[in-house]
Amino acid sequence: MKKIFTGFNLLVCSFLLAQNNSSDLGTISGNFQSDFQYYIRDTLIDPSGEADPDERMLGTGFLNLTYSRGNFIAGIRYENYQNQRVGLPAGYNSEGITYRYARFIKDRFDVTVGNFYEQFGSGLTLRTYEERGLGIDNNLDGIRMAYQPADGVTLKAVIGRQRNYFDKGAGLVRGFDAEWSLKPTLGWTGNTNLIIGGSFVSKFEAANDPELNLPENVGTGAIRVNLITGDFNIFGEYAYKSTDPNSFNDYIFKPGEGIYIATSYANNGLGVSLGFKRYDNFFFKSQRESDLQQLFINYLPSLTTLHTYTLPALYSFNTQGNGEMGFQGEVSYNFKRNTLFGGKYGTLVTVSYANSYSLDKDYKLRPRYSRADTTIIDSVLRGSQGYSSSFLGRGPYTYFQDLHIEFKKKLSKKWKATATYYNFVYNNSTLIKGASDYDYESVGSEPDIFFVNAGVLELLYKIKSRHALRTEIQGLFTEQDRGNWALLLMEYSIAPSWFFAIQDAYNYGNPDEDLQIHYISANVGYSFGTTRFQMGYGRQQQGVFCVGGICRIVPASNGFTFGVTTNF
Amino acid sequence: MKLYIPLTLAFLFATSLAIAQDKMPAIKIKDLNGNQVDASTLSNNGKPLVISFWATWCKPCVRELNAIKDQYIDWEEETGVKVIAISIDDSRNSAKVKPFITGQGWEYRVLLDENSELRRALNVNNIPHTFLLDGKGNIVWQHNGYIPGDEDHLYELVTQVATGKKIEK
Repeated sequence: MKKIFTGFNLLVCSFLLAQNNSSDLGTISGNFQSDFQYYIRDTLIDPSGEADPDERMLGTGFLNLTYSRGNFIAGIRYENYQNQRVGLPAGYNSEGITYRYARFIKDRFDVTVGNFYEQFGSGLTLRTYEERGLGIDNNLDGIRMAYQPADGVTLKAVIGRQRNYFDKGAGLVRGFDAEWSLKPTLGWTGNTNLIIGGSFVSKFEAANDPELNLPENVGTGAIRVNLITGDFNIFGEYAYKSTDPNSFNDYIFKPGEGIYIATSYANNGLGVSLGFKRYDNFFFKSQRESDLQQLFINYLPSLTTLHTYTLPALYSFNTQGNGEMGFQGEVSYNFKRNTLFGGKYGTLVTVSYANSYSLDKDYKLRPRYSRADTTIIDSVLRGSQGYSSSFLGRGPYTYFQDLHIEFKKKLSKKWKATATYYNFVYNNSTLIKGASDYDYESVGSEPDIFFVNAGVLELLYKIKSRHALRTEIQGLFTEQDRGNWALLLMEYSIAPSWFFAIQDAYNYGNPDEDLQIHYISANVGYSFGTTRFQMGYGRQQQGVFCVGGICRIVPASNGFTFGVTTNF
Repeated sequence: MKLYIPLTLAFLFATSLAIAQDKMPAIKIKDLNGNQVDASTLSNNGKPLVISFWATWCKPCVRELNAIKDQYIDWEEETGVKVIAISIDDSRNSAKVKPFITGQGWEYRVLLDENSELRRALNVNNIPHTFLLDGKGNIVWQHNGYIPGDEDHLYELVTQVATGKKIEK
């Protein structure tokens, strides 16, 4: 990797020097981000000290450089984690170049050599992406080619190995995707378009399991259709995966399936969206055994709202790739100004419901025989055909349910308000503890379910030109888990440079009286051009990061933070 | 890796005259009808163009675009400026973008960068991130984050660009 990079860098430099006499040297741009945290031992939130890092101070840094000249783009990213910050997966504890590529785009051709990100359809067969705050980067290192043989037709082919922290996954990933947008090809006029597409992705990983005859090549295929008219949008994708025994599905020999449908209607202030998902044994990773978040080849849209207010975000949903079904419906309407509900400035109301529940699984365990005779010793899931399930059958377990209603309104020239009510049903055993349906079934237990109500009122008050005060008042109420919470946030900002924020999250309802504590934090930010500094001090409550099918608990911490980001 | 720093410095030095992205790259994104749009072709007929990266779940982004919405008619009338809002919502939320903007009542052209390809090519770390392009398609200013009132500063710059003044980066 070092050699490749050095060679690549030399290539770029010599290219630049060779071009030195020309007036167009191309441009270089980039960004830089760094975050530090100094931890203070806090015996209230962490009595045993297990979450308290030995290093006292930890930092991360990222530098992206992008060079472009005409049709040529090249870039690198340097990352360092000294050491991994509290809350990031343990593998992020090193430094190096994790991303470097050269790309050439000309006419109908687009070729990338090196690391790249790609998505086929909605991601059911392949999606590589980076979300560094969550510790996600599954980029492919290899070759990507895209070609447009005619207007509206796009063909893509990729091959490579995936990033796994500062290393690569064991599996080789190969993919092909074709998409045909009929409107430009057939010269349709008007708003209607029909887009059809298909993809095939396979992985190869050598196998030498002493007990099981594991397939070394695993393939997935998908077809998709998207019909767009002026107001309606209907998207559907179906994907199938050949038998893929791995550590995330208990090594069952069963094909997988994924269905994702998203439809919407939008016209004249009314927006409606309806979606359906069914994922059955559909995690797809390029290595049979890997860390939870690493080496995902595909991406399964969760079809739930991503909540960003602090307290509602404590109960985040995440896709259950081993088997789940659910739907989401959302309606928003903008009541026009000068009407009964609209008032002087109009009112936006959104109602949203989503759920997720288990598949109707009928287990087909594998009997294991004693060596001496044919007596059955036990029956196991590992190496079996797993289960059968009826297509629309609803299983016994609810994983998640989210109902929320939001009102958004400009009250006057100076005031804007948003009020939201939330109701969650949250299966903590499945979503956080990672228990499978089989875990419940095999011992006859029931999952822990949390019933949660929450409300958030956000007020924005424009004090005078460029000065504003933003307030969030949040409450969360549940008889399970950590009990009730109240939160107050005040943020004073002076455009275009400063903001000051103070927040108190008070876990007053914690069943453990010692943990009925205030999580207070204060932050100051300063922006100058494209550079932003932020520093703060505070006690951070335990949180949840959910991504790629996995939820991760981020332990509570206490300390100073400092961050800087810049673009150039 | 030891070679990395000197080489990169040499790399930077060799290009020291041309730092900062000055044009939109030729990356393909999509419009709400599923048509591919080459980002390098985005323009506003010689008038200033504001390009704002946002997502349905990003509250400051929505606040910024709503603040601009309140004044957009005047902005357009006085300077001819247009706003293009590029959503980085991934497939989890991209189907909701159209109903969302209908609810917000935005009249901007909205484009989808579903796997953040353009965002990466423009080195955008976090959203909201706003670019200002002059009439020739040069990126003359960019800004990260939004605090209430930023839109007034942006509009001052738009006015300067519209009248042909050079602005400080």
